[in-house]
Amino acid sequence: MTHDSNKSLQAIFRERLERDPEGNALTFFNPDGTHTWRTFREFHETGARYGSILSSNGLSRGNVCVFMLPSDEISANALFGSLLIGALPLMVAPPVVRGLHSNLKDVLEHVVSTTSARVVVLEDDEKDLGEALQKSHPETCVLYISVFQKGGDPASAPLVFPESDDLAALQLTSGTTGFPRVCVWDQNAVLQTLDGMELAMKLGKDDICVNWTPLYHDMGLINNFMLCMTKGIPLVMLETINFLKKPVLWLQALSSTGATVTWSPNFGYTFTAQRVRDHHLKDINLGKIKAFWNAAERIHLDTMLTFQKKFEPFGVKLSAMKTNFGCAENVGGATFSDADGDFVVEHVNKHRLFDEGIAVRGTATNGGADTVAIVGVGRPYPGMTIQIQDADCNPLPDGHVGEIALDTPSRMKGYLGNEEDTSYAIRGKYLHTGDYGYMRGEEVFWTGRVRERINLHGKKFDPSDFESVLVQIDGLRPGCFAAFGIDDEKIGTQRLVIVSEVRDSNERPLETVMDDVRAQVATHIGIKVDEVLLLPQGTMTKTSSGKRRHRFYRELYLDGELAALAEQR
Amino acid sequence: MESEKIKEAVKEYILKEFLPDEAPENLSFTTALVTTGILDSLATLDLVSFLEETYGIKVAAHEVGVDHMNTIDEIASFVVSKQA
Repeated sequence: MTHDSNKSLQAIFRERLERDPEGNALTFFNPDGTHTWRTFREFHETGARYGSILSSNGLSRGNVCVFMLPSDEISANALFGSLLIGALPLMVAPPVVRGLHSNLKDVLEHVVSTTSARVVVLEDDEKDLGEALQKSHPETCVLYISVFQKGGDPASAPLVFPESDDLAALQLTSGTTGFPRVCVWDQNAVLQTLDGMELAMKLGKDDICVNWTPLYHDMGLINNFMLCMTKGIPLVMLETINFLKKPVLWLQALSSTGATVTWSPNFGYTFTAQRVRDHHLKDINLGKIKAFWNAAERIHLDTMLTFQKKFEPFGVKLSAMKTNFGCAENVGGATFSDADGDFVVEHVNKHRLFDEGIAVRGTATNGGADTVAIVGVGRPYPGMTIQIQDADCNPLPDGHVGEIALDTPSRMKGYLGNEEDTSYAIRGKYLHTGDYGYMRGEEVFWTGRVRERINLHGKKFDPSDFESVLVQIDGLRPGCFAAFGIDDEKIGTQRLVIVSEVRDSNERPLETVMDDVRAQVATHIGIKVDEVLLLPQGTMTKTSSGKRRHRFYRELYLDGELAALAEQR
Repeated sequence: MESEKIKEAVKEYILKEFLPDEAPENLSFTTALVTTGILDSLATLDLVSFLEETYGIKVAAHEVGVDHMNTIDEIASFVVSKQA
């Protein structure tokens, strides 16, 4: 069911409406275990009503509409409505805990300025943020979700059917300046991704998908919402916050809806295995699930095995554990483990891997002190080829670590307003992902990041995200810090470590300074710092171009060679 | 009285789940939990789930915030207000 080159998302939505109007499209699984399916006709009609409201507020074809909403039913309707009228949706993550993430205003201002957004939609209790935004961007229309409660006429929605080279949507990805970058996707790239995913995942007419990942993450937006809406696959959504409060809901949704496919970042599998107790699992049957896809951060072998083992009595088969690698720059999923078989693991000599960049397979299958298990993330979807390249873009042979470069039909057009980063990412015919890995035959093995990105619970952060926060802390030497992530298999994601120089003139107790680092990062960025280390002034070197060497300090930390004045875990 | 019981129960839960190595006397009812990073977003939602199950209350997404949950005192007041 691949698309022809003249189609658009909107044309496919129309075809589905005509072909199967009464088929199940979407349902939201409630915390009490109830849910009500909505047919595609109902979802389309509601989307058109939302679209007419957005249109009456000035949103039209090709305009950018920014949504900062939790991933609930209103958000799904609004997203769909904006697409139906040919606007370009851009989903921004709202704070999970209100009152934290106080740099959100700056991020939103940056996003609205970069995209010249015509409309911004916020939750009703974000009036202060909305008023500030309206003041700084009088040309932008700021709306609140209650605008969708009534009014709007589906019949008056100006439905649009774009060309294949028209833009389709925008997506945020972590940047290197303290602000996110904006990936620009055209229609063709989005459709190519969805076609590739459908083939690689071997999706069929009997599949049902369950998703708890947020719509502002490309896993929720592309791998679930767009894929299901275009391929006719019924989608069961859980609000992310409900999953995080009670992860057994995910399993209940999988069990009770006849689901066959689901997605989660690695941490979600660890989190669920740790949090769900046996007494929660009454009447749970996961035997129909043919694929638990794991993506968006480093995939740990222990996580895959622990999850499968824990829920094996409830039907989870090892062959159902699947792996994937993708990125927003490729719109969505790029490589997939075998839909009909087991994922691949290599146990390689870790010294040769990390010191020489060569993956030499050993004889140990696990646990050897000198070996490390690398989980394969699969093979490229049909139509894509992958090359592992050295720093000069030369191809490397099998088993040699380099940057994963994609020759992909689903490549983004670029980063909006950021030619420098675009020209790094797109060189020749390749999309340079910023990820390190090696290949063995067609299988890709992911080993790390070229850029020094930190991945916490599937969300990516750049070390520069912390600079504006640390610079405000009395006692720290401005600009002299390193931030990095350390893999932690126990929690299935990374731990955040911040190392900073403390001024010679500092008179504050070091414990207070470290408390301040944690508090300021929690307040401004909304995340927890797992470890803080303070070093003497003048001990943190930079590169010859003045850049900080986060990776260098990460290595020193791992080797236990950071001579800290104080540390706090 | 009910409020004091809630405070003790919340303190016990936080110590057990998020601060297993901390001496109980170091966690007071006025210790800032969220703005100091003691509770990150996942831990805060875990605590919300505990409150919902233990006290039979429903906490809306917009109520999960610093205003209601930064100290054990505030959490207890919030729970009591939801029960009223």
